[in-house]
Amino acid sequence: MTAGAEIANLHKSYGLRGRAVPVLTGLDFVQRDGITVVLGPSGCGKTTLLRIVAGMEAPDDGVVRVRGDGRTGMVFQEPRLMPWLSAAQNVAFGQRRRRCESAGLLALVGLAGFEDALPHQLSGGMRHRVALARALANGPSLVLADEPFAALDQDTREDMQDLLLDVQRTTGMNVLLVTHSLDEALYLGDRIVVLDGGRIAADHSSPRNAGPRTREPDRRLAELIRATLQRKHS
Amino acid sequence: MTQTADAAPAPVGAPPPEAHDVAAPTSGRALRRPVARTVVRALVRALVGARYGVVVTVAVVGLWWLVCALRLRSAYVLPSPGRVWSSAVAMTASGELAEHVLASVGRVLAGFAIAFTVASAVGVLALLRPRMYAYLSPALNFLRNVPPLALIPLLILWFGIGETPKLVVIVLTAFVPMSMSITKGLRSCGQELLDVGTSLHFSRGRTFALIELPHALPDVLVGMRISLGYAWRALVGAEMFAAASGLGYLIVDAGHMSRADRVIVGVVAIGLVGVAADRLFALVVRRTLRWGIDDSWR
Ligand SMILES: Nc1ncnc2c1ncn2[C@@H]1O[C@H](COP(=O)(O)OP(=O)(O)OP(=O)(O)O)[C@@H](O)[C@H]1O
Ligand SMILES: [Mg+2]
Repeated sequence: MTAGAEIANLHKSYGLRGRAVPVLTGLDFVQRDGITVVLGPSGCGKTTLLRIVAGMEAPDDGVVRVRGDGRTGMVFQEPRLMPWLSAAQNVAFGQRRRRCESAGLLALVGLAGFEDALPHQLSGGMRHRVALARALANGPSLVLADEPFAALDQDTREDMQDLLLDVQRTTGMNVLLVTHSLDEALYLGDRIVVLDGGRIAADHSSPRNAGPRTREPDRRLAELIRATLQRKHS
Repeated sequence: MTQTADAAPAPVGAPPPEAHDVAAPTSGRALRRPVARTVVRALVRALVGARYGVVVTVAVVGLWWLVCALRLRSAYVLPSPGRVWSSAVAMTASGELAEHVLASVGRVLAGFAIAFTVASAVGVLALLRPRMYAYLSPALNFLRNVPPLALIPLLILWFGIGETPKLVVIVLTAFVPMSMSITKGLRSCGQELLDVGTSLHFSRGRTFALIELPHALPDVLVGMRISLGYAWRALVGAEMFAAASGLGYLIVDAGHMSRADRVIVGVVAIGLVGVAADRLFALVVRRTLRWGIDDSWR
């Protein structure tokens, strides 16, 4: 197995008004190759999990390891572009990358011609796409993505989802993607893990790669996952 | 209000546009005409842009002239605009005024440069070594609340009456707002942007150079602009004692001689040079910075 996260018995809680609020309670997870989607309702700790994997947050307890060569791309839940840099400069941020290459990446996310625009001159969805291009800029072996498409309209979202699938297939990079959309999870995931109650509540392999790419969701799997989510919330 | 060149009213006396202006660009006549027109238009635009200032100046000078003409105050206390004007002309012609302006500008620039260097060092220390800054911060807070003029007697005792105490007063005055602004700018970079550096495995130095420093730039520039004004205003205080040149000296000296006209020339010169320096700084910033420019820079 190439790049990916390995997590054992992960605990994390936040202090809120002097009280410890547990978010992750003994989470175990070993990432496999392909696209792994972490699915869960708002506030269940998806962002927290991703931040711990990315080394931005320290776990209270447990072991977190990231296999691979360290070339990690990150898409945050918000675009987080440098407001003083143009779109192209943001894509190339922190890299020794020529301008034309970042222009190519911008074209890939549908932003050809916006190389010199500053973030405040772009729409919210455009900023998210710049952030996506930035995450792909260093040719990552692992991409951590926090609801990367949530801010996009239906059409653009589908384009970007297809782009991610294409890039993943051609480069063989691994992806750990967080979403609260079951449809998105079913379309993108080689594997879908449901995060609930601070740990993995369900873990499904998706047969997506077996057949041709289709937006028709796998009904059996959809029902299975829906049942997991409902059981947890009743 | 922005006025485009085309919308500018045709100045009185300017020749009407002629067809061959466009048709025969090689003729000397045709070449000079558009240049002259551009210059006139630029002047009109400048006047339109400065119309509030012009109105206020005319009103103040008019009121001043009226007070003098009605002899409400003696000419000894309030010299007439004409008297002040002829003094100004004489002082300009003799080179006296330029000499004082240059002396003051030189002092302020030197003090400003030193203050900027120290304030930047303090800001970087506050960011990278917060523990060490914690020791420094009470002293800085104390200094912030002491008017530099209060230190003059001590400064003279310690440094004599040469350039040093004057420079120290300017440095201290300029340092205060600049260090607060630079420190705030460097330390206020949000975690959201710093996380991007973390995700790219940035070293501390790279985080500073690529994220924290550019993020702080607007605050640094605001601090520089404010303290440039402060430093300039500290001039009279700094040049009040044992100076032989500078606008501050000019004013104090004229005061001793009871030459109100020369005092007014000095005061107006300080104001005008100060405004010019501020406008120039704002212009340079506006032209170079593409981000973080708010209305205060217009
Ligand atoms: N810095 C923090 N301080 C205190 N509590 C926090 C902090 N960050 C997250 N939390 C809490 O942790 C829980 C999980 O937050 P997290 O951001 O991981 O959720 P999420 O699954 O990403 O939600 P969403 O889908 O809405 O983005 C929430 O209850 C939140 O209140
Ligand atoms: Mg989240």
